[in-house]
Amino acid sequence: MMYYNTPNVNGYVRFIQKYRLGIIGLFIIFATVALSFYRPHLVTSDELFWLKESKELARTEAKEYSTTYVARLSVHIDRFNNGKKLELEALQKELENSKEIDQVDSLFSAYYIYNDKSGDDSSLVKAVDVQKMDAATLQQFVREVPEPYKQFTDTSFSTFSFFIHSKSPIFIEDLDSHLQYTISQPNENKEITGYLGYLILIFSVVALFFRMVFKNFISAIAGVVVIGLTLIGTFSFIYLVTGISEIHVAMPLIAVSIAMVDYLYFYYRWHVTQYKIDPERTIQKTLNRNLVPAYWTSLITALGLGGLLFIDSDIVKILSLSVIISSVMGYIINITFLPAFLSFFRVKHPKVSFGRFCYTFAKNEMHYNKTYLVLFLSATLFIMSVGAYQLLVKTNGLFANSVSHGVMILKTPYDVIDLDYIEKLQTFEQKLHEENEGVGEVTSLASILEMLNVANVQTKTFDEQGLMQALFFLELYELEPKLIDEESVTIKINFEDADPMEVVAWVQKYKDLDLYFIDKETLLSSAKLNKTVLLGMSLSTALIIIGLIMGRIFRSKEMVLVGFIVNAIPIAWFGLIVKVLDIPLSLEVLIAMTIAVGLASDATIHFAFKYFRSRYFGRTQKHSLEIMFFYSGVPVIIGSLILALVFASLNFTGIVSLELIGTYSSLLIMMSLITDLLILPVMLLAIDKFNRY
Amino acid sequence: MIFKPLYFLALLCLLSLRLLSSETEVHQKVPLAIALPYLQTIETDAITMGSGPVKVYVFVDPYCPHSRNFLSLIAESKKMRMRYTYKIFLYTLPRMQSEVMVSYIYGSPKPLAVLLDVMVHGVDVTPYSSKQHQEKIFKIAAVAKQIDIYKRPYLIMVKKPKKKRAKL
Repeated sequence: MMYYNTPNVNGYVRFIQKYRLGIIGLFIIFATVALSFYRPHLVTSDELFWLKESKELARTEAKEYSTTYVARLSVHIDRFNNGKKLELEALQKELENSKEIDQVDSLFSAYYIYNDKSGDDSSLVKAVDVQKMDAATLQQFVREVPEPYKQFTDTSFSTFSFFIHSKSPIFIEDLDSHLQYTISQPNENKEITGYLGYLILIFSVVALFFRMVFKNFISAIAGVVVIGLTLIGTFSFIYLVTGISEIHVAMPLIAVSIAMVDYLYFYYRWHVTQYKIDPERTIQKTLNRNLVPAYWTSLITALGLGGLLFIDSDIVKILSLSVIISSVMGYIINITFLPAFLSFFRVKHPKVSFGRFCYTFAKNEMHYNKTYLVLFLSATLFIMSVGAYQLLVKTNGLFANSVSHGVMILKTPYDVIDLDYIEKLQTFEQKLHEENEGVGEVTSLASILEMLNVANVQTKTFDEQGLMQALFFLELYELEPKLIDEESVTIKINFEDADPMEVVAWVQKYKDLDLYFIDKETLLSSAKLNKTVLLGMSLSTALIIIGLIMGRIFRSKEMVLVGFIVNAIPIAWFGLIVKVLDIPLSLEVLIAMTIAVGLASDATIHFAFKYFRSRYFGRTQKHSLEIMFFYSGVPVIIGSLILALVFASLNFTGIVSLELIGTYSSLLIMMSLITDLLILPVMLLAIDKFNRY
Repeated sequence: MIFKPLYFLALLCLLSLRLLSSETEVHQKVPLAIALPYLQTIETDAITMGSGPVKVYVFVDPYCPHSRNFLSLIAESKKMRMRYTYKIFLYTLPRMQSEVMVSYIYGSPKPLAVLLDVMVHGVDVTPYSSKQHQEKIFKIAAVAKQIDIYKRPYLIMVKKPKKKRAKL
């Protein structure tokens, strides 16, 4: 059905009104049954989702190498002296004594390898703990030999880093130490307490906003019920289809967003229609004006994102299913439950204060400057091209600084520790430094054996005898455990000034050694790295499909471009912000982008539908714009403002993931709103082929 | 008279050469393939400690602090004694003047126990010279000179490369 057709819904409306109690009852039963059978497992960290699909983790696990979490505890002091040294040593011991902690690397566990001589004829290779020196000597020593120790302290001796290795994430809250410290810990799943409270808070904000905007309680109650039903329906259905019960806490927000905006198109029409029309006919008007565009929005979402369901990735599946199902569920609920519910009520004063904005926007946008539009679109296309280049060529650039603790732990298996093997390790380290600018100290069997050999005046050249003696001293001073086990060698890389993701990508491509990522943070980064192209391509494909379907709906080639550009603008500009601010790609960013695509595609359909319908029926461009803004713009403004407010309020939840999704989504939603209000109408005017006036 | 400055110049040149030669004295490491046959000729004269699969020939001086330190580390580490077999040779450093002690240790009924007492446990003994083992001491010294053992402790290891090993 085309945009100029008006569906006959009289029979359907009579049916709804006749069986309205039954319909409402049916939805209540459905919600009760779904809630009693389906128990979602809510998680706050995206780690589970990424690692589940990590090929690197699968490789590491196949080798039976145990993975480790690395946290970085940074202690800040004013002045380093013997007293402070004792406190720092005590902290080292306290951490080492913790049952959960496997290893603590710091200046107070570091050793110093040297040749202890008493004359040319008497000397011995020594490896001594640097902590045995007093504070002044230690300071002097580290200044003279800074390289191995600068990962643990700065030049002013005011910050000391402790790298804490543990099998499970540790959450250091109460240290006996009085020292001032900060800790960078893994983003691990936390127990969710009071999630229901947050949900109630979100619903309360939504309800309050509806009450304020529409000045009645019906809008608030209907809104909360429609959104609630969509939420329950969406995730029960996803569980039924995929069997995946783990839901990231931020994912329900996709359903909330889409359901709310869909609801607003229907409710708003019902609300404002009461101004002129007999209240009995408002349901009819609401349905025959929204049935087709809402159907197209659901279809476009389903087809646009449907292709993503075939991608072997739980993250992509759940994200796209969340949008598709919530869109379809929202549509079904809005055309069945909502009219049945609203048929009991009427609004006495159906005024909405946003109405006057429509005329201002319509008036000003009629005289848009084509040069500015071309410049803006060119800039957007340029950003998109740069984004595509980054995605395809410099993938790792998208993840700047996502390995936050500054170290990468690798393992590489060995059959025999001989010169060939050590040479391979040395070549790896050498190339790592040469090809990755800014990489700091690399601690491995090769580097320590080299230090032992240099300290051994007897061997000098690193030959077979040198290797044997270095290995001997390695065992003698018990330096082995951190470097080598029964079948593998451990390599620790300090990123220092290097881009961690560049290093991750480089290591993945390195073929001369069989390397395995051991620390969870790096595994997580590598998993994200491997999925970037896939996710980026998926999103781009979805945008192209959305554009193509819009072209088909409106029988216009130009609409393909409009559909694509309008959906891509918020993503492209948000991508630029993400890049400029060095925000690492995470599930939260993807969820925010998915919400933006969902909302933007809905808005495009509704706007274009209203505009072209009005133009078809002979309205002028200006009048058509006014109608478009009045019937579609206002719900978008209300919906976007509520969503931005709700998402921004997530910043107070204390759950990192929700805080991130809150920030990103509110930003993207506002960018979407600006695009819908300023760019979309102008583009519709630009492609308008109806006779002017 | 003319010979006097020339004489001094020549002397200066000789002195410089001497100094230079002592500063740049390089000990060419004797390859294991050459050293090993020599070592095997004195192996029965070594004091043996440890029972590991890897053989370590060690030249020590009983009064050398680093030799003592080295021996202490080994004596204290069960792991190091299980992984390595030490063939210890007593080879004096001229400045230590330990000839009598070396002779005393070799002459004692339990050389290893006395060696550990002297070098590890710091037991105060009054050494006396025993002519009985002079030949052994000279033999060791001859081999040491031959393979350029210039410092103490001096290690020569004979083993296969490190392979994957079972958990201890």
